[in-house]
Amino acid sequence: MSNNKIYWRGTEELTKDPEFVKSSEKEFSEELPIEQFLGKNDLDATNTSRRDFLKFMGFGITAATLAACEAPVVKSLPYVVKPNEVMPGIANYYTSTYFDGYDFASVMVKTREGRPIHIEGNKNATLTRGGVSARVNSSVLSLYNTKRYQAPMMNGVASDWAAVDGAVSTVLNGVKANGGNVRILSSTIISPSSEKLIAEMGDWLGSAHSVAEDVEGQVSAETTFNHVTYDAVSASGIRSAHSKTHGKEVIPHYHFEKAKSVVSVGADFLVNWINPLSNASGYGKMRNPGTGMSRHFQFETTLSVTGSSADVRGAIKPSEQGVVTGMIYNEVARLAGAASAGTMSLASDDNGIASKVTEAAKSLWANKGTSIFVCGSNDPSIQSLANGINQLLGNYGSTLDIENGVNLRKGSDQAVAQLVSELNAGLVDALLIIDCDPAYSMPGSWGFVDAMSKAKSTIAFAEKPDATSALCGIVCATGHYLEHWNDANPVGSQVSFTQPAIRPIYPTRQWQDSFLTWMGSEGSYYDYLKTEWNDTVSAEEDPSVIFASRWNKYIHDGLGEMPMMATSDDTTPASIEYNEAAVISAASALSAPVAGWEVDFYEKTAIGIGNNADNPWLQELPDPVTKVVWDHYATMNPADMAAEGLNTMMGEQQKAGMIRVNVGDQSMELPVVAMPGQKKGTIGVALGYGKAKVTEEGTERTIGGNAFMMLPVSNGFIQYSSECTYERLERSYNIASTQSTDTMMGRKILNETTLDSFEKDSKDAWNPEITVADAYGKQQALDKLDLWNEHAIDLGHRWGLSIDLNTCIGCSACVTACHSENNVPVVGKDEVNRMRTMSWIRIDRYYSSDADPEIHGDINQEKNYSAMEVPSEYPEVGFMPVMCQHCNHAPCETVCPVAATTHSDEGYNQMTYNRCIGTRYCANNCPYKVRRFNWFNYVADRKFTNLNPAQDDLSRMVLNPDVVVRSRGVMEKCSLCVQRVQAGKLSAKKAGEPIVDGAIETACASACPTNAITFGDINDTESKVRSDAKNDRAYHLLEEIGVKPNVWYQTKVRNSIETAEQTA
Amino acid sequence: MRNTWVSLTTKMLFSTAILTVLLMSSPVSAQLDGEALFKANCSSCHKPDKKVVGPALQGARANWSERTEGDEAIVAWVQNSQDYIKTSGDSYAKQLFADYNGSVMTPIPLSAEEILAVLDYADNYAPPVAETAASTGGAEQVETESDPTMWLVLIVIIFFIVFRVLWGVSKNLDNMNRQKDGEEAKAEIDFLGALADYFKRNKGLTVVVIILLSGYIAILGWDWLNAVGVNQAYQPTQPIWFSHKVHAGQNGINCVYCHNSAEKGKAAGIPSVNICMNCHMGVPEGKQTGTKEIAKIYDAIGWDADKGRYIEGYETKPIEWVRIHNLQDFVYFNHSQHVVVGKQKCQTCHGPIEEMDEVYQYSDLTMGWCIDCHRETDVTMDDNGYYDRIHDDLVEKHKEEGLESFKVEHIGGLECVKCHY
Repeated sequence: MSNNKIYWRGTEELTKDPEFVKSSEKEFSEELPIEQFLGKNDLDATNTSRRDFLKFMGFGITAATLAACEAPVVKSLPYVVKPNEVMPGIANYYTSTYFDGYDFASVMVKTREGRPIHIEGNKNATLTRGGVSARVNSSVLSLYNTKRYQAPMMNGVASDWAAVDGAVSTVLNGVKANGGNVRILSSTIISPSSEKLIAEMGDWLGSAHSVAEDVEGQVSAETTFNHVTYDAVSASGIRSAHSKTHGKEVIPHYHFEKAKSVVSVGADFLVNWINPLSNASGYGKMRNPGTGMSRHFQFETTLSVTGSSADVRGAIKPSEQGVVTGMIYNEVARLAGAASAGTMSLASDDNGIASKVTEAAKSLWANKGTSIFVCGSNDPSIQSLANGINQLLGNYGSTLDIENGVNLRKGSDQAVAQLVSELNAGLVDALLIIDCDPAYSMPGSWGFVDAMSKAKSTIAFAEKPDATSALCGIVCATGHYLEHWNDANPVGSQVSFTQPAIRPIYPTRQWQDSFLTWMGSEGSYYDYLKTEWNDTVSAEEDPSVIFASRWNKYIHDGLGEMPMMATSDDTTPASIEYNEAAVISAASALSAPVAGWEVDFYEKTAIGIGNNADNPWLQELPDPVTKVVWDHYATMNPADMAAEGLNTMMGEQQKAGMIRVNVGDQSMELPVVAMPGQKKGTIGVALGYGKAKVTEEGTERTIGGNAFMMLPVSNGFIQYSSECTYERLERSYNIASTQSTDTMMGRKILNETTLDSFEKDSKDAWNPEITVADAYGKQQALDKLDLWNEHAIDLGHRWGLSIDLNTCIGCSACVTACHSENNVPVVGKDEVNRMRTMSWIRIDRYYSSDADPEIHGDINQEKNYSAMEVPSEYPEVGFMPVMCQHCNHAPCETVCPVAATTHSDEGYNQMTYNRCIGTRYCANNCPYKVRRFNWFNYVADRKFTNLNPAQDDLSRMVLNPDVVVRSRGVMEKCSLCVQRVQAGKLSAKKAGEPIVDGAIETACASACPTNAITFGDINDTESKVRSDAKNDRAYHLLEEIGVKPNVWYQTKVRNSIETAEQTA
Repeated sequence: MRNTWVSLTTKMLFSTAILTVLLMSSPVSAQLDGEALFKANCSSCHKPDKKVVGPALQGARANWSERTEGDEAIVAWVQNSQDYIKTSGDSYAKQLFADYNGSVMTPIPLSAEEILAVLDYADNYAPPVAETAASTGGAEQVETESDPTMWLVLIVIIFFIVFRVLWGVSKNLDNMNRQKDGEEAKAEIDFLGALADYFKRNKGLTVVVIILLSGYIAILGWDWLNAVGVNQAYQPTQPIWFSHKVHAGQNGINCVYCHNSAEKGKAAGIPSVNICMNCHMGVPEGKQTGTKEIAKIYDAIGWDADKGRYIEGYETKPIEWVRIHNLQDFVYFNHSQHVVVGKQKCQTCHGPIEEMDEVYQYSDLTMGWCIDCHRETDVTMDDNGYYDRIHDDLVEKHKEEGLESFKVEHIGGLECVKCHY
């Protein structure tokens, strides 16, 4: 049988080796060194029993615990030589200027112990008027971004400046000696000094060449030098149109503060389009129903922030922009008695565009000279028509200033295309790329990446790694704008200065300094700038004032005026001639509306063109309209989505469907989010994504895809919409958003009325006093019934907020300002998805519903209830910032078992973190849901290592030292910026003077570009917040529950179209 | 060389100017109090009887008035020494300037009368006799101040011993009595056994004793827990043996000369080395530690004491002081609030700092301690426009009690959010 077989363990067994036989009985053939590693001898020597061991361990733990009770030794290191301007514990403020080639703002940088921690607007700035946007005030966090270039790079390896300077000098001197073509490709540069420097670089390269010719008498190849400006989101269509219709290539300076009627076709002018901060602040001034209320028409595809604020909004296809502009032109021309631009016809009209256009034209005509027509298209034909409209209305010279045009968006699409063809022809010897990322943001059809590889040498100036700098041989690390000196001339003769608020953190060098070094100049760019201003300004201004004091004033104020000579040598014709024929011929060049599906490319409020897409504050900032965070998605009208069977709901359990969008040979797969108000038959896709990466719980993902690649180019102009096709994918995707409800369900939450009703009816009609039934069923005024005893609210200060829902445009600058001021942690997509967002201030967005509350008011019937949940296909939209309402009779206070949240005599609902034990009863009892619980220790928990900047030694420098960083298990919420109030009170006490209204501002109020948020002392009879609170428009959120908040809202007044018919 | 001197002199000039401005803010009494004027304007560089940064002032007036026949010269010299040298060409003045390494005396904006008052004060100055005796106090005194519980334990032990002895005596007496009466002596029982027997017999007393003992232990435990994180009397060894007694006590330097941000912001601040150098440029040696400790600040900033100038290109080394007063991160405390607005003396919280050689934490810095003070301290509302409205409101509110002055608690000084945010 087979089991007779014998297996040996080795030949030793077979041969019966005696050694083997001896050890074969044992499990291990060799003696194991157990004794050795267990230290048997040592064990024997002691008589420690297991009992003793436990005793010792117990003692050890107790001893360690006791020792831990002793405070550790804390070292304090004072300066050896203290800089005069730095005083530990006291903030310093420096004016500066934010300009990244796209956004412009004059800012005020708050620094503590030499490190910038917060950015506010420069209140004296004439252009941005003290407002900031979310992108601007978040930029302070980008300063501490460890993913920035920390040294100059050569061939992908970190190098030093000596090596880089050597390499660049070889290239540039080679060109100088032998001739060649040098090209500079930059984003828009609005610094007059920098522009001069670039010109000098050109001269230096060229002039050296001519010297060589003279001396040696030999003819060598020619040196050409060209500076090409390129904007990721181009407005060269506007410049081109103006050169045709007005003979000057210019973008006018739009004065929204003078406009009583605003019509916009596709321009998101409040947050994204040209100069949004200036537009928003001007627009805000004209949104006061008491003193002057403009009427705003918006015709657009994707529901934008601007469109949400509009009085009348028409949803149109992107390809209808020309037609709608033409229709408005014809209508205005008819009223003006001018020639028509030919018949215009829409592809489809499902929301009364034709009548809205007529009303818009009527409104514009009624406000001749005080109206504005803007268009977001980059098609010069459409822009020519827009110019025609403004010309017919006589807006040039009043609301549109082309004498002192905007210097932003100087890019020329033609010049860029020309450069690409030069590159492709291999003509470029050295390509210098300054502060832009063309490999990422140029239309894919231009093939820039291929073209760039044909340049003989490429030098990038970049703050952080991007698609372009990765392809460049030499990367000069430029650092952050808060480390730079510069001047900026955004509009006309207005100048805003950039001054550094910190020494460069890494060995970086702003590009101007590199230029100066390479040109062999001794001084720094600071010296250059100063000389520049000394030379040009001293000659112009009062010569009796010495330059040093004038210069100090410039830098102190952050503002200045351009000397006249710089603009007078312009080749502007003395009088600007309007060319009507150009407008009429442009109308015939309009392309016809498309019948099929179209995609609309737009910029997000937080991300913009993606310059700071890696900023976690911006990624976690909910989109004002969709409320989605941390993701890139396509938007569609819910009606279209329902037809396709895509999920239109939001929430943790509601996964979004996916589609593939195809444009030409490019395609992109995106989750779909419902956007009521999106024109049916169109898809909205945001630009600026596909650049930033985020690491969530160990896995890295790129957020979204690069939509710039899909941009079509028509007649040499980049277009921001296209025909497309899409197909539904079978996958679904988890989307995180901070708001899952769309409508107000017929309640008075965001109280809204029409201007007509506001002006004609009494307050009872549009902001009625709320009454509640008492125990006997009798209706009583709210203040007659109360569960609580009255607080001493008239004593001393009583801080409060007034929020004007009419001027709130939803831009969310307050949200990021609050994050920066109050050390609000970043929690990431997963936590937001669990509704654990930490924002102290949120902006609720409400869509109107077609369900009539009169008919569907009985919410006890489920059918009606559901009807009210559904927003209209093309709704009206309202934004409502909600923070802790600081109720005088706060429900949270009564339920706290440890009195961690109590009421202050100054009106605060105070939250004491060190007393909080985390029962969360307060959050459950808060009717406004504004309390935030620290589910984790966000500054230490591993889940947030790559998300929360506070976990990184450098990035945590941005934390405000006056505000404690909350730990796990603690509730937190809006404190009304108590640290600012305390600081303001202290300075008033030191000065021995009463607090002046407006001297103390919360971070949100300070950031707001439209001044929608007012903070102040309600007990101060002079304060604005007091007069606001007594205003007819004032009401409390959920007033009926009687918690008596210290936050007032001002009823939103929509200047809707019915009024127009009655007043016209 | 020349440059260093220029920078040195400007430095001295600048620092003395700051000091002067700082000290000028203190009101000058109408009676021309020479002592007050001296302390406010001169004491950072001069002593009446000793040479410090500048010469001793005693006898200076007589010396000058004899030489120049009148007081005009010395007044001019004090008011602006450089100007005086230039205009008068006085060789004595030039020599004096050279003797003191060319350190320029800051122009002192005092009137002739005031200057003479200061000089008279210096002439009549006699060093305080009790000074050396007082120096033995301070820190040691605090250390020897003993714990009352220790005394309590000691008393208990003594009682116990007395009781034991008395018990022994009574037992012996009892036995002797029994012997006398011819009775048999009681069986030998030890003291503890007897005590145990006693407690066994008296159950009620046992319960009371146990309750008292456990109560006492609970109190001890509570106190111990309360002391967690309280570092009262913490007196770490500092990297430099710096004596506040010498600086603030004996030399009478105003606290805010060094801790100048106490009047401006939340931190009182540890002075940077350049502030030390304002005086120590001219004071290389101390009475108690000689050059040893002062050399450490020279080492930090790079001062060459022999050549009397800064070493060029020296890499400065920050001094790693050990922080004594360390509030928890969740408390916001602002020095200027208390010093400028509340007009509190530094000593209110920091104790007799001018008597401490080495500083220790005087107060316990607990919340109870803060609150107690906020309950007891009056707010000075009279000359402060900020309080006008609040004062009126408060008077109205407390009409029945008839209150006219108010404690910090009345203006919300006990509210959580005033310190916790």
